[in-house]
Amino acid sequence: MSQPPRALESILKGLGADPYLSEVILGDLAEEYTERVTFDGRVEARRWYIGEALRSVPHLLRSAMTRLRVGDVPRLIGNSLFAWLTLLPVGLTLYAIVAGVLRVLAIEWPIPPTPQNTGFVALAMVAMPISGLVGGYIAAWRNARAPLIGALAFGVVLTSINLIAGLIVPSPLTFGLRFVALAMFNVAAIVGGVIRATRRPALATSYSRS
Amino acid sequence: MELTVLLAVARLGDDAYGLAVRRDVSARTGRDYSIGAVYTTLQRLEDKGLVRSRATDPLPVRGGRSRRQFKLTANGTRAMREAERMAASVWAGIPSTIRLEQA
Repeated sequence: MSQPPRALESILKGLGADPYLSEVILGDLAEEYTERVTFDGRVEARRWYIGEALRSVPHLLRSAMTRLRVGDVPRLIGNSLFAWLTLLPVGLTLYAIVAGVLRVLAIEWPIPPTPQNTGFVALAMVAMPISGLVGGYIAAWRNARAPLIGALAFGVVLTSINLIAGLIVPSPLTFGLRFVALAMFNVAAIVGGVIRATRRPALATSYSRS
Repeated sequence: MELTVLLAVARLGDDAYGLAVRRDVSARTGRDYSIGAVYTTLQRLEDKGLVRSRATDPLPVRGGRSRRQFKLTANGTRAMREAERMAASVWAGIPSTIRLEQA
């Protein structure tokens, strides 16, 4: 019998929707996928499955959001901060490696943090998605019931911290560059969550422990 | 959407589960509803007590998952009658030249 794309199934499960809803949706998708493989072929059935899976995301996401309880918020924030703290040694190590390489190449270091300095801008544009990806993965790992919600929360929490910090210490990036960097950070965090969800599917239990 | 889905559940009888309801609704309305949209509506109808559901035994064709079969409740039947009565009421007095069956 034809199996629907497992990675997509894991992503849909990873959204942490009401298990009742996600199980019946995944069941219907699997049932129709099998029929379509028989009548339309595997490629066409796969294309249909991807489209339907994407159309199901808003409904599953809405279900996941309505299931969030007040008590879940501190846990999501805590897991996001945990991911951030885990990132720090990784970031410092990368910083040291980049500094070492640049010193060997006799390039000015530290790079002055100004929007006019292309070296600094390039570094920020590389560092943001990498940290988003790794942080999103860690946050998803910490939220076994709803890995993608964990990754999404990581992006939101860290973006909020960045924006609040920007009020105290002005960002060296222009508004446009900062927007792009934060957008890349959030997208990468979701990608990190997706990678985690496909590697280790979400638990079948509900997000809320109730 | 709720009334359309409720009518589909009534029409399908014992075969009323998500996939069948979706096919019925899409065929009759000419719109391609997503599986998520149909289940969200079915869940809302169940919350309102207009339908009730039960899980079948797991099926290999669904990757070992159960089907959820829906049945109209007494409240659902009442709601359908009320909707029909209301539709008849709001259509009353419309000139026959506008009515579909007269066209």
